[in-house]
Amino acid sequence: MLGFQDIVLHLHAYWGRLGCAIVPPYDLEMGAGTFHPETPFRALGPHPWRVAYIQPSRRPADGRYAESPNRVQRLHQYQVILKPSPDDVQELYLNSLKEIGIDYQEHDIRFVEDDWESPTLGASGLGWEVWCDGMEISQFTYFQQIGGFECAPVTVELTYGLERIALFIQKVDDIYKINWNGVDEIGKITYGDIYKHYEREFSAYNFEYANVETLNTHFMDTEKACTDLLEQNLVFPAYDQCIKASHLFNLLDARSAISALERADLISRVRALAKQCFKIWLGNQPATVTEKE
Amino acid sequence: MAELLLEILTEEIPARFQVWAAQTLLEKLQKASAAIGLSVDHLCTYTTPRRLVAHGNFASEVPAYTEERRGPKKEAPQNVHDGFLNSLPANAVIETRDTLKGAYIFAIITHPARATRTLLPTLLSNILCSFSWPKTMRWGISSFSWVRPIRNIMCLFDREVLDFSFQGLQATNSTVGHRFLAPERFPVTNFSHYIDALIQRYVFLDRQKRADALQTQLREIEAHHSIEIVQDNALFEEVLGLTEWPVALSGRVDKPYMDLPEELIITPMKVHQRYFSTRYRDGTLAPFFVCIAGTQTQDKGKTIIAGNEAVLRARLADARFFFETDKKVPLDKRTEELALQIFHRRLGTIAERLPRLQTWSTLLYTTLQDMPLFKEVSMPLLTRAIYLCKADLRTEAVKEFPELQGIMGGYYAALQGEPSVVATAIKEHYRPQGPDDAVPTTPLGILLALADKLETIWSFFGINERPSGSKDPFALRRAALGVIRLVLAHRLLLDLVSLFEGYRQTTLLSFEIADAVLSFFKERLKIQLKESGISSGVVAALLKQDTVDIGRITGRAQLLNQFLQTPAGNDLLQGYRRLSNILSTASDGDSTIPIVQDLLIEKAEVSLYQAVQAANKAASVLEETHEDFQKRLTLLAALRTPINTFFEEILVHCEEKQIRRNRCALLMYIKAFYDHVCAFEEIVS
Repeated sequence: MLGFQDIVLHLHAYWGRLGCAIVPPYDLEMGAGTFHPETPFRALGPHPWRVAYIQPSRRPADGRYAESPNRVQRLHQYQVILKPSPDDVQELYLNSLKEIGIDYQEHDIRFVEDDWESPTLGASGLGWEVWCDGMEISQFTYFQQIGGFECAPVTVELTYGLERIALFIQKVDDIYKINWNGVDEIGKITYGDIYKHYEREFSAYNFEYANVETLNTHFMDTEKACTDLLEQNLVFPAYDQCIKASHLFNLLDARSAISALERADLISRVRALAKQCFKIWLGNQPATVTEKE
Repeated sequence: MAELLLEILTEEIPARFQVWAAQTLLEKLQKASAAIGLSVDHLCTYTTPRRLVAHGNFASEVPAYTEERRGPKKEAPQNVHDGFLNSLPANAVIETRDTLKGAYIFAIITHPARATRTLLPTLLSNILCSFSWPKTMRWGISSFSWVRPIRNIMCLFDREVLDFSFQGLQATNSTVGHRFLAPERFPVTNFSHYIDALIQRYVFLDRQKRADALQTQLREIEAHHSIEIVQDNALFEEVLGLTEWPVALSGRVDKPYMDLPEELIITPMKVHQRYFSTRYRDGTLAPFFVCIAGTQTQDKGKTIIAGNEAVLRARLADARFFFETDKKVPLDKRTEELALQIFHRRLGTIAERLPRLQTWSTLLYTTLQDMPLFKEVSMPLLTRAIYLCKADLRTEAVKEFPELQGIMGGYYAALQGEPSVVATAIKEHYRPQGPDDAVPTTPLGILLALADKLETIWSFFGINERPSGSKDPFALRRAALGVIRLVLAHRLLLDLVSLFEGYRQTTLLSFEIADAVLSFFKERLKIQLKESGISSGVVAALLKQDTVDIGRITGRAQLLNQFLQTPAGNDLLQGYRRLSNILSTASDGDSTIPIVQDLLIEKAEVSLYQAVQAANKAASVLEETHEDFQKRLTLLAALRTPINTFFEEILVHCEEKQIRRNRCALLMYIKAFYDHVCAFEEIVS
């Protein structure tokens, strides 16, 4: 049995062989692997780069108190960044699936148009959702812009949804039944063994106990801290504040504390912070890139 | 002639662009060839998710031709002459010719025949560079953008590889088959070989062949399970663009989910999964779905089906979760929450729409209550339906599937014990959502649907968010067409002018808004009538009235349009034309002057007067019905003979002033009789 951890280890080995630096997950709460500084900063500027990592991703509003077999408020993405995008990137990706036991000769793999956008990062790209027997298992995106700055050369981002892939490979219909350590009988540790109580408690926190007033204050604090740090040219500490602001926004959203109007405003405020981080970082780079907006 | 075969192999092209791309490539090739005098026949283009292909027979050369260029005048300064001469190729022959404008220098240039093979690389590069895909991207290190990355170019001309390179890719004579089933490169010799080789390698190049193959498989599945696959053209077209080798597979919907509302089963299947749903012959939903895979496997799709069934189970488990969660909260409570949900920044919350919907519904009911259809309407139930109609916007199911608004509300209302007329009205009130959608059929549903659309249109007009050009972000045109369809489908007797005035008076809104909305409706109606083949004159004639009764106008437009194409219709217009011609030149026409019978002296004018009197008398007993409108037209047409006789025998502009004025008065009287039926001047002018 290929355990959840084996999927990650196989992907590490595969992408490591292809020259990716395998880096740890970023140690902040974030909504998706794309927020990890190794993605947006590396996708900007002229320097080639290859990196891969697993990133726990928090989606407070998706919490189901551990009662849904399909949705969790904290999931795992496996993220691969290749810059510039190689000519055989689709083949590289398909071969990576073989490494984790998904053979395209036995399944129906399809590339379905999906243009990607991250309003908080001011980022956009074109590509596909990758379907395997009707399940979306990855997103495949050629970045075109980050923070409103054109990406040249173009970075390709491959994002694997690890829970879905594990469900698929292990043929189970409940996230909590995913075999984590690959041990079949005595000594087997499941996803549920590790995370069930986290999910229950965080759902309660996200929906009931997160203090809206405090969250709002924190949001404003991070905004100020980000701006102050940028004045000191401290891009990465400033970007940390931006990641925090984005997560605070997601928490407020889960508490239904944001009206449609405020929503657009808060998103644009986070975007402004992110853009400023990217701009200063680009300015610190040897080669210059022109702003598109 | 020599064969050109070009294949651009790319990563997966979005389905929605593929038909457009084939057409565009065809047009561009035709145009570019014509521009350089290159003759082409049997040109065809194809697209699959991974290929853009052109094939055609091209002349092997562009024939030699002579070009004549006029240069400067003979006596022009030397530098002008030098400039002209320097611009010419070496083989140009120079002549001086006398023209009407003096002596000029001419150059005769003989262009030799050029081999098509040498022209094609530039021609093809230009076409590919200027290919304006609706959405493009860059990849790798290049700044070139295209719909998706190009990975191979195969190009043969006259069975040989064309020396052509594009964006760093050198054309080859080889390509690949299906991504998974035949990924190996193979050499291509010509088009017929290519198309056969692709079929052997699991690629239907021709979209129609792909469609036929898919249809055959769908029919087999239908026969096998004794079901009907619900026809969905948009979905069918999309899946044709998702696969080079469509394989239809049927899976089962888990039984425990079959008791969900069927929309909650069908919508995730279609929207998230691109599955076709199926029905038994009696119309009930069958527990099968059909997915279109892009490949075939050794186990005949068993693994693929099992995977898809598992995905659908997860989707339906979600749907069930939403449904069960929603059922726990009464719709009344959801309605209260609408005070939190913004409808539009300047129009406030959705809760604020409800009193406006109430005003409209009451007004509509008051206007329509005499129609048999609305005899049984209960005002308290209508009010209840209004109160609950937007509640489902707060439910989980509608947050997940916005297209189920109304429908879910209908289910939840029925489940919490609302009277069925209320539940149905909620369910129906967004309809019709497009030209193919059904219109509401129940009295409450009709009233609520009309109110919903009119409220939307008036609100957005009120804040000056009005459709213009291609911009209609709030789909107000669709709303107006919805009203028109509702009125026509149920033959509602509704005059928009008085209805709108009623609403304006109740709400104290400005005349300007009422006028703008009325013109907007007239414009929609005009377009709709013209699309159904009514001439613009007829439309204008019927819209130039004090009332805007959609049903009456539409009925009369069809009738009048037909009538005018008959000999009687021709008579009617001829008569009217003569009348208005003479009156337009009459200086002392005065409609206030009564006709004096004693002054009618000639036989022709007496008989015209009598004919009009008789017609008027006949018309006076007619009503505003469809049949009676036809009779009015017939009466008018019959006046042509007396009118003709009148004009043949009588001089209107005679010396005698009193007689002249009396004759004009008679003619004006007749014209007024015409104009009362409709504004014929719009048709004859």
